[in-house]
Amino acid sequence: MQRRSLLKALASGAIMLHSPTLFASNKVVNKKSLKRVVWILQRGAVDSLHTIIPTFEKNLTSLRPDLMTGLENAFPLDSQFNLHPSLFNIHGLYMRKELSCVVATSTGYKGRSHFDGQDHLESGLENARLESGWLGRAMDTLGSEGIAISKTQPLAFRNSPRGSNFYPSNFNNSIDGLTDDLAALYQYDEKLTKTLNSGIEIKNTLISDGKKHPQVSFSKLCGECADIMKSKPNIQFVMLESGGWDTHKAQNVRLSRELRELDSGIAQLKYGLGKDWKNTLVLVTSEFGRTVRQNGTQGTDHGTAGCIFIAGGSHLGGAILGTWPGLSDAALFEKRDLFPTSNTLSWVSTAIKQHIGLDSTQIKAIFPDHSPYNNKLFNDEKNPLP
Amino acid sequence: MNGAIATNRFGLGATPLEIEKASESPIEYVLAQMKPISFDKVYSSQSIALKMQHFRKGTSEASKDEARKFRQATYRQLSLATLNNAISSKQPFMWRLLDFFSNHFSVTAQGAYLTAISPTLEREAIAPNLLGKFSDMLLSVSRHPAMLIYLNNEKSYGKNSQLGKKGKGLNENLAREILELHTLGVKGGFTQSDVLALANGISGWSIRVPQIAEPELFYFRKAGHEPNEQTLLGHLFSQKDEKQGEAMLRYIAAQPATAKFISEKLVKHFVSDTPPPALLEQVQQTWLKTEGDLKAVYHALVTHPHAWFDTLEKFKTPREFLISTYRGIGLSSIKEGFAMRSLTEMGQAPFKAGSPAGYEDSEDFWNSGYGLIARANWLTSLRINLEFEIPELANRLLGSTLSEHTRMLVSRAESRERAFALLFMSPEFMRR
Repeated sequence: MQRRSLLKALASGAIMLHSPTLFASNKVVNKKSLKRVVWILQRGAVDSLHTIIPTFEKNLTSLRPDLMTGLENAFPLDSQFNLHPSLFNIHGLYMRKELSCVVATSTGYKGRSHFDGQDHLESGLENARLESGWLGRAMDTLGSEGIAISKTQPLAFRNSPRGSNFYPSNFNNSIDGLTDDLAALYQYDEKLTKTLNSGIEIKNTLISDGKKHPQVSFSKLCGECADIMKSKPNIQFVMLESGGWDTHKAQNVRLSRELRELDSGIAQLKYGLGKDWKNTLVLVTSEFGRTVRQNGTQGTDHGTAGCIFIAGGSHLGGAILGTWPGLSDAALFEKRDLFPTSNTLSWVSTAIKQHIGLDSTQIKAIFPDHSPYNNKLFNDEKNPLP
Repeated sequence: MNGAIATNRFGLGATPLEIEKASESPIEYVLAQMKPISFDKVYSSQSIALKMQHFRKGTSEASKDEARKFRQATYRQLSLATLNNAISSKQPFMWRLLDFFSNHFSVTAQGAYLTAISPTLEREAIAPNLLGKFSDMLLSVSRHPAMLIYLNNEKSYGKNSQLGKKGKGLNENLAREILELHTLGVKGGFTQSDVLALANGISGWSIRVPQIAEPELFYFRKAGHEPNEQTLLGHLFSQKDEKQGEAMLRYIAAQPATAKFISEKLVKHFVSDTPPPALLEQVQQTWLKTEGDLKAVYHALVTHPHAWFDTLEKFKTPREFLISTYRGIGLSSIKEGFAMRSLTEMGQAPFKAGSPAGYEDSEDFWNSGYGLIARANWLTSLRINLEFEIPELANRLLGSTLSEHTRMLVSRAESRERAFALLFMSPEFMRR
């Protein structure tokens, strides 16, 4: 409660005088180009061993004999790891040093429930609480705006008045004259007033674009997302969701498809953002990983540690980050899952802090429980590392 | 206690004549609806599976196309039937309950088989058990082909079974979601070894190749069943074959954690995202006392005075919004294409939650900028002739919950069309 009221005060500017850096960062936002963040949440737990493949592990094939077919043409990243063959563009970014992979990370959540796990990731707190999300706290702390490409309001945005949501719609936008009346109608309803305002904000640029949107694939959404970021230069935080990762069965085909969508989506983002790619950080994370051994149906069950991608035009990438725990029985978590050796949320906090150039008070307001690491991911003028 | 609450909180939105009827004795009005509901039996999971099997024999492009059309048509037709049953029903309380449990046991229409089969789960496994014991519903659902396929149990085989010895293995997806989502809840105190024990217990629970003589698709594949005894939640299960999984499911259904988890979810669904504790307690105690007799549980909910407070604390889901709008207009059905498009645009296409947890059920989730604009756009796309003037309709649909403020704005609106949109977009119509 105390923390929340502090955030509110920060957001309202009530304690700005005591926080000169916050004031300074607002100026930066206005003068220089805005440092932007796109967060892709892969719902359903991605099989990280099938994405960033530890080919040097001798027992990999015996742990997952049926899952290795089709991976022969994977892209080598270094002497140890290969990248799934569907990830052509992601590999290109890695080679250009605009992307890094982090292996064996987790949010610290040890259960194996998707929904609990996603709550942890979205709330960004040690103990997930449903009333506040990390993107919402980021917007409140920086006084900036964000948008979720989603039909509903995700937990990550919750409780912040600065976030809105959008999804390509086929309905004609015919409510222009209605909005004043609705504002009057919601005069005594705080929540509806808030959502109406964020709805009005997005409706013209986004909903009534006259285009037809049949079935929307993830990669198309990424293209739309880039368009939105171009047309609304004040939006700093964007959240995208992708699904289809819960591969309990016949995962080779499904993962090839989903990873291709992800790959093409990231390429579309980069292409669509053009010069602004330099100012954009893309984070790709999932709630947890999957079992090291294949299950009985050519798939994998819920696990613990997984992987993340960090990308961006100014990212100092081309590396595999994190400590590899190994795949021997003794090295596994509860004898079945990849053992987590670093924290996903600490990586997110590291990347955001350096990319935007946040001071420690600001990053603590966003991630009170997850201190950033010392890895150098961006040239951060404000926080030069030794 | 009044008719507006009876028809909105415990129904699917009032029809123009309903509040008047419900006002005489609101509690009785709801309780009297507790009778079985039914569907016309055009399709069953078995008849659909037979038809799909027939299509599988054809290899030409034309027959593949025909098969695809059949699956889509089945999905749409069955989904629409439920929707229209709810719109026209005189037992809206029962259709709300069906919707609640259908979402509780959510399956997603993805891929060829599930596109056509998913909508049969609520008809075959939920509706017949809506007024019975929860354990029976759980068992029916867990044996239903849509659930077995959706959560990948149909080829889950024990390590020491005949098939396991030939290299087949376990898939713990269904077992985990039964414990986490269908019964105990994620905080219900189960561990990974419980997941494994249940997965072993229901290994071999599969589906058969459809046959005309076999109305049920469920098939116990003995050769794939883990033959050992299992310890689940500290309790030993030494039953043989199919009986083992069955005993496990009945045991889990009877756990206090299950009573707590589902009672709370039910009360939250009907009453408030933050329900009164005394009401929660009463419903949960009834569940425990009656061993999950659902009719008694609903009775406890509806008759408790704390369920009838005046403030409207639940934000309607898109589906509830659509159904209650149609009921409010006085229509008895919606057209197929428009229904599917509408629900998709508003974010709640039937059987498309994409997650075994189903669609969310809280205001935090549905009350969003996009959501609100989508609803307003949808409303203004409706073209209807109304029997009543809008201010009169406002009284009839919202009764005592209609605020003076909304009443005033609706009656002062610049046109009938505008008044219509304001009534259905009003806070008291959006909430229940």
